[in-house]
Amino acid sequence: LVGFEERCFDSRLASGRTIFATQRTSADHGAQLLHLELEAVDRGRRETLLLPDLPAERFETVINDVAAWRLVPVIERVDRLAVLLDGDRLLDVDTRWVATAQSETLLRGALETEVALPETIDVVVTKWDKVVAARGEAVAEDAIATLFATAGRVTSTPIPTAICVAARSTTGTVEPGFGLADLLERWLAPTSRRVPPDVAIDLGNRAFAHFRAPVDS
Amino acid sequence: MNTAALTVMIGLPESGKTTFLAALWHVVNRGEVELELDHLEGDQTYVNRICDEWRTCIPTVRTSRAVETEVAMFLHNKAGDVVELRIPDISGESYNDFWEHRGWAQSFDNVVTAASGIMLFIHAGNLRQPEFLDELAVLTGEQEQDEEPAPEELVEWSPAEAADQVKLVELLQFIRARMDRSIPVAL
Repeated sequence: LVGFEERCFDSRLASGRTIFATQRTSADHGAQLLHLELEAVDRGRRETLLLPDLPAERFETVINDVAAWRLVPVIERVDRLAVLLDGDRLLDVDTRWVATAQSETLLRGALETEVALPETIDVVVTKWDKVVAARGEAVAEDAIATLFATAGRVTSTPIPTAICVAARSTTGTVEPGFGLADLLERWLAPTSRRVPPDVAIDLGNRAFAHFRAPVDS
Repeated sequence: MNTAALTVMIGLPESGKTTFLAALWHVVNRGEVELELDHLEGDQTYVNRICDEWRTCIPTVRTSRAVETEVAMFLHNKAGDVVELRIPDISGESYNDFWEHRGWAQSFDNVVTAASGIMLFIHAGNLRQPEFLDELAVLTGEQEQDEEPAPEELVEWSPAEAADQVKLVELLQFIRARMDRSIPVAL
């Protein structure tokens, strides 16, 4: 949880800030995995969620070189891939087309290089509170349609419907955390998961030790 | 007489562990509870001192790392059931260390892994809350501010700045990760 706390600290009152902020993921650090173990209490099912936290620079490389998708850390093991559309950037005509084109390139590249199956890709429109406050839903729908059309040119298998989220909400138009429950539900649904390689690693007695594979004596 | 069930007291700084121990020692000594003292393991001078302070309404001195000790109180009821109440009276700061450094002493691990129950102490009036700025904005109806406070007014992130709720969840996760069974936790 330290990793999550560090990332959300600048959005907390305890930070002394008045403007919400999120630390940028440093390109100096290697790939970091954030781990959550969640339980659907009513279904009695526990699921492990591992979220790679990668710097934006990594995806700038992918936008410029589709083959770089294969070099993205842990990409061979992902069960779901979220392609983000920055809702805030969609609202400004100066940034709208670049934002849409970059997401389009990422989506097309992921499908062409087959780093994720079409049915495991989620198009996620972020900062939905700002979109609603600016009455930009139609603009966002156009951008989503563009992405789906792009996907349709690469594969005949449909990708799931887009999800609109507002992790924070600064406008009061939607609640903080809007759409995240739907996204989590989709991420944690049973999928045709890739078979992990058989690796035995002794992690000692740390908190992650209960994930270790049995080691033959 | 039945085998003792081991209960362990844990909690963040100033959550009331030592005060509870002092009050418990008082009521057990005076026979004000159904449980009777079987025997005490550990430093009786220490529990007597904190109990005296408690009786005279002197705020119990917070446990520092230098005086960390362990007391085990063996109590039994009329049916002969024994409860071993083990109080690793370690400083609350040590619990912060568990969170910050993701590790604890072997002696604490031995106690926790042997526990059949845990009493988790939370100071209801002194909690570091996990408020988000946007949640506050929704509650107050105020919009996002235009200006940040001066840099010297901003708090730099460190694990110690995390909300108590988060630290406690992580502490319980650590304990669960070291357990091979479910045990009751009393708040």
